[in-house]
Amino acid sequence: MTIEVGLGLWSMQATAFAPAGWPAMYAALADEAREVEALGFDGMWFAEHHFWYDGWCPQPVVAAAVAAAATSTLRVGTAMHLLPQHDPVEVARMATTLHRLSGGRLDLGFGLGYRDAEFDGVGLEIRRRGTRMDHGLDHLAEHWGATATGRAASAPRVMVGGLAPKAIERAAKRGLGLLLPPSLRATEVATALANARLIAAQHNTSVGRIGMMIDVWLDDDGDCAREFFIPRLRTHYKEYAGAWWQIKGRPGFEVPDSLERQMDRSAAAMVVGNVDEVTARLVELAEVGIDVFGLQIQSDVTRDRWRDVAANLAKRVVPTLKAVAA
Amino acid sequence: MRTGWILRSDLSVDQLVDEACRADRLGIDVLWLDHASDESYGSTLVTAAFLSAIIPSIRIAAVVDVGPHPVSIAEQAGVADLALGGRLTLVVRCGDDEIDLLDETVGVLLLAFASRPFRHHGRRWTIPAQSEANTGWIEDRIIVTPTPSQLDLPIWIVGPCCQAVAAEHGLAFVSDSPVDAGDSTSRSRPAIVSLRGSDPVAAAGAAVNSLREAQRRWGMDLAVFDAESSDKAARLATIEHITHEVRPRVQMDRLPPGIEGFWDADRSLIGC
Repeated sequence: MTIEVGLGLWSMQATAFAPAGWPAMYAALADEAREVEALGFDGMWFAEHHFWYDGWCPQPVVAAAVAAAATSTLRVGTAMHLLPQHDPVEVARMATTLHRLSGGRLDLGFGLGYRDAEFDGVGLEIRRRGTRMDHGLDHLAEHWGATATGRAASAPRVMVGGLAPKAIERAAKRGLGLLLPPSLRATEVATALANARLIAAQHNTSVGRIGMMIDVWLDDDGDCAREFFIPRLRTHYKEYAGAWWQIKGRPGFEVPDSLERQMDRSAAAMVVGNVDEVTARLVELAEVGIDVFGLQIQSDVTRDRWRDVAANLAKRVVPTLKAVAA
Repeated sequence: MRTGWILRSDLSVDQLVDEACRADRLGIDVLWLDHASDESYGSTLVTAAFLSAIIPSIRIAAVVDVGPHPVSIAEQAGVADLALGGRLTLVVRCGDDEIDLLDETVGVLLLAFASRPFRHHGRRWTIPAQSEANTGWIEDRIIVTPTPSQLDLPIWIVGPCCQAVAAEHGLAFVSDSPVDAGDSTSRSRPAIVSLRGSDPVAAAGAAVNSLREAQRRWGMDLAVFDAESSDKAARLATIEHITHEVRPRVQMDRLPPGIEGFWDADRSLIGC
């Protein structure tokens, strides 16, 4: 399977730490997509959340349409589209439209969602998210005319997010791809993939693409990369982890020590360093089966900063990564 | 009088883009995105966002049917309007027995676009639900973000018996023909102009007098042309005809004597 490397995540957030105008961010989307394509990346990934002060994009398929129109080969994807929070009929309508308009370049990474407020805002119960995810995936498969043993040739590629056995089974038995969390070590990826392949075989199907969205930063001096990026990303994650996550049954900000330990785990999953360090970690993941990479470089950093990193990644890391034969 | 052009979701992508670009270049004021009559699929707001990267100037009206959760519609419209740089008009359509649903949908949309937290309790939706089953942090009021680029994103209403809902919310109602008087009290007074048959160019030309009459009688100010023909060349020719021939004739209350003859006498410079 050809390894694909894309960039992410576009969320168009105007945070307290990186304020910006929503009109300007959306106005820049088309040019940024062209830039990502011109650098040779395979994809551009869009995130989703709802009802948050910073305007986190709530409709990634709509935003991805801009990128698709501005480019001709770049794939556009969602990581993740929170399928249980949406009406699957609407998801089918929107995804089918963009898949057709883009000439078949849409990737749909679906996640369960974890914020009670998002479910409650549209009249749903979070405890039913698994059932809603199953129902949504089945509706989409039926809509796109998938057979029991394969995927419809003209349907968007679907990857299911998560690591739990239920998530792996959900994807594998339907012949869908997986979108694995970046916290996994290479050995854990290999185990997850082996389980998925076994389940898929039991259902007379095969697993789709195996993706991972990973925070990445690159500098000639690895220590400079770590000094610049890790604190910024910790702050970026801590804001919504503290506000949204329930840690041991309590809001994250109310348990600061536990929150910091969560941030330590997030930082450990980041791939930050010089060319050799970054390449080695990504190649390790490719060798155990990750074949769709979303390199997350676009969080609370200026465009000038991330475009330099993107250019360096494209030139000095991606060719080696793509040469890996899993 | 402004002009509009309807694009339906059964057009090929190439034809959609060709017609949109032609309309934008020649000065059609509004591209009107709608579903094909025999299909329910085709997201007009996704299509609007797609076109935002291709056409720089023209306003886009996107028709959405009632039924989907209005918070989701508001989010999609907000993102599409930002992508378009503030060029979106949302047209909400209902069917025969959907007046109550239309009323509630529009009510929620207006709350959602208002850039402040809100709550709603209606016949169909309670927003937020504040369900006991959701035990983590939930809100008393939600805010739909990001807010649209426009401070006051236009919402227009279309469908049978919807004029009362439009009037109640202070919104424009889209008349389904120039002949049927629209709401002469509304600030915007659009009407659909159906171009039936296989010669939409001729049909557009024949509509000039009815457009002038509607403009005088009830203040119609946007003629949205709906060509029944699927013939690509005919459709592109109709866009040309509307902008070269129809539009100049319906701007003013009266035209000076001789000018129409002057326009008709020498068309050799058109397109140069």
